[in-house]
Amino acid sequence: MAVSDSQIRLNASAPVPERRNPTLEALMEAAREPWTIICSLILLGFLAMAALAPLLAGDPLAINPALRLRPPSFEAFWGTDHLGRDVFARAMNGARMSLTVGVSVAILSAIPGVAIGIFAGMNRLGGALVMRVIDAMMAIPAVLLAIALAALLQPGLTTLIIAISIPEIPRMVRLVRSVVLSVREQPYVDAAVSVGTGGLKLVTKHILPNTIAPVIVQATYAAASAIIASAVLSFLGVGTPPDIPSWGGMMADARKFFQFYPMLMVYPGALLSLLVLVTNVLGDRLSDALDPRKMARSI
Amino acid sequence: MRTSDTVLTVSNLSLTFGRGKTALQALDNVSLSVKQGEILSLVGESGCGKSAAMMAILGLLPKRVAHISASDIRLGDMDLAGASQRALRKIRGNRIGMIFQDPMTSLNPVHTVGFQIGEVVRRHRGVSWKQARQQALRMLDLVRIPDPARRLASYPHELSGGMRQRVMIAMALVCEPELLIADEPTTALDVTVQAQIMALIDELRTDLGMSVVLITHDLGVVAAAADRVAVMYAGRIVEDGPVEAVFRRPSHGYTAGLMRSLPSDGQVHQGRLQEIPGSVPRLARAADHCAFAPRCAFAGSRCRREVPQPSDLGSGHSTRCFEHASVFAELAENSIVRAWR
Amino acid sequence: MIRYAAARILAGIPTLLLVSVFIFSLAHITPGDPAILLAGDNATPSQVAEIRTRLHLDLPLVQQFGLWLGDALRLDLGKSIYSGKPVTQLIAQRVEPTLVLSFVTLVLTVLVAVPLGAVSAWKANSIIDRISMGIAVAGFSIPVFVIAYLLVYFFAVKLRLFPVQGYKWLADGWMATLNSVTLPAIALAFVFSALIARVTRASVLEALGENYIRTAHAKGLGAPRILFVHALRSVGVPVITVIGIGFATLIGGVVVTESVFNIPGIGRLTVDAVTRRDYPVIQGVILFFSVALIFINLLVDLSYAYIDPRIRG
Repeated sequence: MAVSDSQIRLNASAPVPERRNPTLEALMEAAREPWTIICSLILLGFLAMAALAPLLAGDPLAINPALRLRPPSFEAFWGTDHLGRDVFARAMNGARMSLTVGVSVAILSAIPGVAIGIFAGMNRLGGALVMRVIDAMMAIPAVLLAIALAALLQPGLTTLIIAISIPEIPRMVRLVRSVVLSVREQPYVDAAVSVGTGGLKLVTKHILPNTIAPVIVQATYAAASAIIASAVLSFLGVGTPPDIPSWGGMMADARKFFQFYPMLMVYPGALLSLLVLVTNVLGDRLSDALDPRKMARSI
Repeated sequence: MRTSDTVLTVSNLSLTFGRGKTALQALDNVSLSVKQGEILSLVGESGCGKSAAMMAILGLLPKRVAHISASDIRLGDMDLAGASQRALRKIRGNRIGMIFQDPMTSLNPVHTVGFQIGEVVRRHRGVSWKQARQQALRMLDLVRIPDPARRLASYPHELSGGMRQRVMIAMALVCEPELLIADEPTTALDVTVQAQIMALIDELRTDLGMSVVLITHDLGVVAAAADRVAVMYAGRIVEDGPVEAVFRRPSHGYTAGLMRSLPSDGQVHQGRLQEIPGSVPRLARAADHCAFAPRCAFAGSRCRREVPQPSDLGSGHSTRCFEHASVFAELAENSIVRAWR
Repeated sequence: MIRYAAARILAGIPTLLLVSVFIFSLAHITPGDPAILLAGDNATPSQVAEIRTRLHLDLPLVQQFGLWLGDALRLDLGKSIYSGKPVTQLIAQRVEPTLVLSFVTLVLTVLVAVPLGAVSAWKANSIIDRISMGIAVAGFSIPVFVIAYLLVYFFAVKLRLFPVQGYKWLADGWMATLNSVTLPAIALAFVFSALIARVTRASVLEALGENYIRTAHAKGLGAPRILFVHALRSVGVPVITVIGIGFATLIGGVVVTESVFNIPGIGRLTVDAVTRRDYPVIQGVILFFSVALIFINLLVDLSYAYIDPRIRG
């Protein structure tokens, strides 16, 4: 190619007519849709719930056998459970735990996912090997892998987060790799390579920016499924220890009394479903806004 | 063999896509008729409304966006303008067959050729699969597909483009329709195959006694195959008449432009082919003047003020051009026009 | 066709090998001595030593893996710490409820989700479309055990149409079996359908814009035939693919659902093994489910050739 690097630079620094960022504009437009606003407000409500739990509600752990399975009262808005604990206080603290897991898993699956995905997309041989391992990881049902990891490691919040993050990584790797591969096909990347742009610069200037939007969307979905997974694990008794209140744990506790006290299950179940629902809807909105080809939810 | 029986009559067909600000007028009072056994060619650039007109007649346009009005659309003695979708479904594939530009994508990739032809017979004749297969076999033979019995079990991807277009033709004609609408049937094919397909259509029209509406942008195809031609521009028919008449005496600025952009047969053309400057306008409402005027070399001030009404030039030839006399004077020495005289 | 099948099967082998490496190494990523872990919580030091020798834990890891894999290939997955029974036998005893539940769920899902997705695409942006896609988003947002308890509360506790929990074996009559798996299958299908309905809708919507759909209209075919015979059939590949991928989610759901409905299947076995930290059983069931998943995806790959003639070639 006859174009030199300096010419390219010259062109790049030429005055460009004022142009607004299309991604930003798409996001702004999505932000004005009623469903986006409703879901964002609900999500903010959950954040407030988590942050203000100690102020709003009483002690979620205080056991009071004399006040078992009581109906709602001023002391306990949503009544008490089989150990006389304040259901409202436990539910508020459950939001804290669910959000912590959701956000942590989103970050902990995104960072290694992006790193491995870029490697797999940039390096032909290494990529092929990595993808074999990823395929194999995806052959193990995610929840099962998380259950096994959670059961085998020391119980605790960190373990739970790690156990849920690990099965999420392969999806992120696949997504990032496919983005890298398609970006590498683009003519402008070809041009950059042909004028001698090095590997690192190629990644930081051209590839990384293109992965941001899909990774954010995928991380949102990962957060939603992590919240479900943590509830499943707690429900099955391999989640956090009893001194960390969780919605899944509350539902597991409520099982025995379910036929007579269904509300014990309804409160955590409804909160859990609502949080996951708004997260998923926001993920869909983001996906529609950020990707013109309507990136399909990659299971 | 030509009789005066009219197979298809269309009067004052107008079509608008969408409403309000984004509205697009695709057709403005289009009238045409197709007589039994004849090939009528609709000619024009892409976007001029020739395909849309046929899709509108068949009720193939999405109702939500396509707003159609017409004083009369008639197939034989049947009224199509007021027909229900149900009634139109009985017409499509049965009394009117249709083939499309791209045989590569117009056949369903997951069904066999035999299935796709057979289901038309079953839909309209209510026969058994066995009989439908027989009929499909007969049609494949008729469109000269070699080894038709084996081809019935083939999938479209196993056939060449020309073969696929033959299959499309077999599918369109299997119920022996009165009318075949061929929408750019040869555009996507190799030049040698183009001629074969046109010859096949011409021959089948005689054998089956049907009429053909041939949609094309290629005047060469018109010259070779059609009996009559209707030239369309921006949703209006600007000139129509028997092929000989139109080629001998082109009488619209747009027809003249089309002719000049055609390489003349058997001659090494001098200089470069001429193109018509500009492109077909996309109009929210039909133009209140000659829509071609902005691109026309002959246009006078009247052309930019008024819509020209059809003027009869005799022997069924009419034009919507104020300047048709000067158009003809200019083109009298054109090699194609001379060749037709 | 045979070559295609052989290629697919061969491609599954390295995956299976890697899966077994993961499952094998699960025992070694845990903190502490795997022998102590495998011996269970109440083992004496001599029992631990015995296990260490019996399971070759004193050998190098690679050699251990070789021996473990050799045993696994002979369907010997060790013995349960809790009951002392062979893991293979435990799994075999519990296959039926899981298979029945998965099969009923799959049938239910395909019967509901595929037509729903196709009709939503046909009537894109209509009320029907909006409602069914709204339900679909809810479907993969509401955890399966929440749906399960809702169903139990209304259909078992209040209306008494179905049993609250339990499983009736096929040997005792298939009607009773079907009755006992109806609620769990509906709960599972709700989640599974959400995914498949969405993918079906997106694929059909794309297919409806294809030229061959215009041809089908021009042939005078009716809406149901165009939608189901022409559009849906041609999107078989993406839909089947997502059914295959969705099985991973479904297996997770089976584990939870069996636990909720107290169905003595492999999911229930998994949960029991996890709470008892019965390590050989955990390894065994994960291996079982992974092999099942690989097998299902092999079937999916093979079905492509049936659905799409272009792949056969």
